Amino acid sequence: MTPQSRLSTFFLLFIITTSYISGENAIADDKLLIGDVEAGRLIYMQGHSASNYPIQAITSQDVKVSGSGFACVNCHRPSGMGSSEGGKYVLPVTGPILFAPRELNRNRIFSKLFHEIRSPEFVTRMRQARMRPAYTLDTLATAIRDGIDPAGYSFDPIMPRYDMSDGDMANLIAYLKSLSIKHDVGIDSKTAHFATIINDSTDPVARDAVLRTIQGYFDRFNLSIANDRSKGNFSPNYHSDFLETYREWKLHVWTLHGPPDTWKEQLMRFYEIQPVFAVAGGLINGSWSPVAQFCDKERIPCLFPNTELPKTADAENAYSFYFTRGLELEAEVLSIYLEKQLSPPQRIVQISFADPYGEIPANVFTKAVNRWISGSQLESVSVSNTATFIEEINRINTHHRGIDALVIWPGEHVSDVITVLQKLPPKIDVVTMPSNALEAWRKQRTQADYEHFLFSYPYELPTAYHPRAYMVHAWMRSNHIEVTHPTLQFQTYYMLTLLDYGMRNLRGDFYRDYLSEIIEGEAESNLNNGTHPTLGLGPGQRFASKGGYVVVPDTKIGIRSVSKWIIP
Amino acid sequence: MGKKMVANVMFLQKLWCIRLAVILVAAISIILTGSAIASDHASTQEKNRSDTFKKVANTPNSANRYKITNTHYPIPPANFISNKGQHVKIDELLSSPRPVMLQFIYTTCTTICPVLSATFSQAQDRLNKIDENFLLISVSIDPEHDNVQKISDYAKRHNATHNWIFLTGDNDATRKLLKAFDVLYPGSNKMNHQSTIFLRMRPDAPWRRIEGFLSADELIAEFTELITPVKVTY
Repeated sequence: MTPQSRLSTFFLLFIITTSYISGENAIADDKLLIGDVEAGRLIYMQGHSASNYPIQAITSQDVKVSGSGFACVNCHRPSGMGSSEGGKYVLPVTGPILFAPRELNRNRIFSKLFHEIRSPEFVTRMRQARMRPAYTLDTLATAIRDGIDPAGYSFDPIMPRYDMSDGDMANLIAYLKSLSIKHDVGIDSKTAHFATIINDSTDPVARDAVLRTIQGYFDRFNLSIANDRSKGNFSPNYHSDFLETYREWKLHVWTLHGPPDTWKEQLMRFYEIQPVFAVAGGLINGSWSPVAQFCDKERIPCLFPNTELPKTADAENAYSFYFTRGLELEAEVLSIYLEKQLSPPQRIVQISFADPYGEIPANVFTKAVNRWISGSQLESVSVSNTATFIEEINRINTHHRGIDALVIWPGEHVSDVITVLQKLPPKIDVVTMPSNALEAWRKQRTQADYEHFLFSYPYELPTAYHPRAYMVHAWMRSNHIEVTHPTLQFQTYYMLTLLDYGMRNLRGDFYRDYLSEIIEGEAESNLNNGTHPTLGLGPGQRFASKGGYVVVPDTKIGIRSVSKWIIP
Repeated sequence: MGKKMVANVMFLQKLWCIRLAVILVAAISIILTGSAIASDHASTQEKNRSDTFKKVANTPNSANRYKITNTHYPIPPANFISNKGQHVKIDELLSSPRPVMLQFIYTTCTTICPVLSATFSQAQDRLNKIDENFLLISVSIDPEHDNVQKISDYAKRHNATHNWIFLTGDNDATRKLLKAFDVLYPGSNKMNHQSTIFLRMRPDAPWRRIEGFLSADELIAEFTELITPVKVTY
């Protein structure tokens, strides 16, 4: 190599090296390109870094916060599609939305602009069209750390400014990029598939009542979108703006056979044949738990089934939504009532049938008595059939002195139990039963002559006034749907109106979590048609009604409340 | 011939010198340009950074972020239960001579309430130094869900000290109180509730109604101003 060529090589290396050094910033930016999605999910959902320390942040200018209470998911929600609460509009943060310029798209904010009741401050904010270019990795990091968007706008002070390392930032951004990137299954360009779940041991008449209500609503819904589509550009209430987001609803009735431990497998088979976007209620005789496990596994919103045995453990943020906690709630309501009515010390005898409808509330009642009724003496007896139940009633009638209350959980033997009680009235001042025995009691006893027979009742009283009940009755009449089971059918109608509202307000963003989030927010808004005194949810909540009455049968008005609305 | 060869060699050497000079100039200019770009980039970053801080500092001032009005609110009789399980008559509690700050929250609220409660939480110690008799009250607007256990857990989450009480009631009592403080939310849906804090010095004094969000410093300042006797000069 000549001296000249050595010199040239030196200069070339020098140039390359200096170029490398001056490009240090670019390499620092590249660090943001690599992130771990699972570690990012931990930050988004729990506010914890991969090394499990809580992420620190400042909100409202100087308020130091950290950890799960201020994790991204709280405001931006599991779908990442954002939320709106208390006059604050929380923007979506999914990858496809962040890494594209914001456009003037009225459809995305339509429901917030026109359908929801909002404060003037909120409406004003919504109408301020703040455009921004697409986020880059750098500008997104700046937004998360400093609260400045790429157009230079400062976020609202309540958006926390997060103190995050480059590594945590890369992880979080990797997760955001993976969030709600493609529509969930069960929906295509024309059809949204829904299932309703029933099992073969339910009362066929009740089952038909539920199914004809659902099918009637589906038919009506499909008719309404066909009507909108037939009118082209005619746009009453802006409907034509959303024609592309309309999907025809198709109902699949999934009928489960045999014992509950085989249901999950049966559901998986149904789901493999036709995935559904959501489960629209249903009617189950038995525990909803196997179905709930299926819903959680497949991440399918399962909306308001008619069940007395919901899955109450780990229900928050799960995928099943319920009206109440069912018989567990009734057991707690009765225990609170007895605690207030009977003078201590109390002696209570509890008889329960050995099936889920008997055992589950009996166990909850036992715990509730131990928790709330101090100094009480509870004797629990489990019976397996009507003969042993008769033996127990005879035993109690022989040794009834000193017993203050008899609590009966008739399980799946409601009719037999009522017949026995009619023939062998217990010589106890207070006898309680759950609401599922009320109808049989009223049918078999022509006179309400036993004031001491009390029923827990987690529904609205017949004398209460709910204007929407009249509207639903009229809807049923006009659609030739006979109302044979008002509670079941009205509950089903409520579920359908929420599903309808939720699907319309997805506005083409067909993500199941987003549907759940819309339903959480909307459950409280004037859709209650009189089945319960109040219905409402909140973020993560899964039981829309939380209390119950204690009632006695009444010949004139059906039932009469002997308690206030009791919320355990 | 020999002179010609020497001349050729000299010419080639000159050519290499020219080449080297060109490379040198190019290299220097690239380095200079590079460092200029880097420096420009750095100064842009610096500029952005200073803009950033400027913009953060330029977030709407207190006058824009929250609104203050002073009003008397007659408190109706209504029963609540505290996070300690004690029964509380709200009209009696609010006739306490202690300086009071009150907010409405619910425990599953995700956007507004955590910030409101975090502000109270951060202010506690400093309020204690200003007037140890202060009383913070958080009332649930979701009474059916927020039982004693839930509000108690919420209190722990926000490190509430003995001067901070959390209340839940029934729907009627809650609605009465919301109506009394003129904070009923539209659509009867708690998701539409607004961020409002109420402060008052004495039972006979008007309530200072603060709508919007204020920082912990601003909350302390409002509280301090409220409890500081007005100096009358003649």
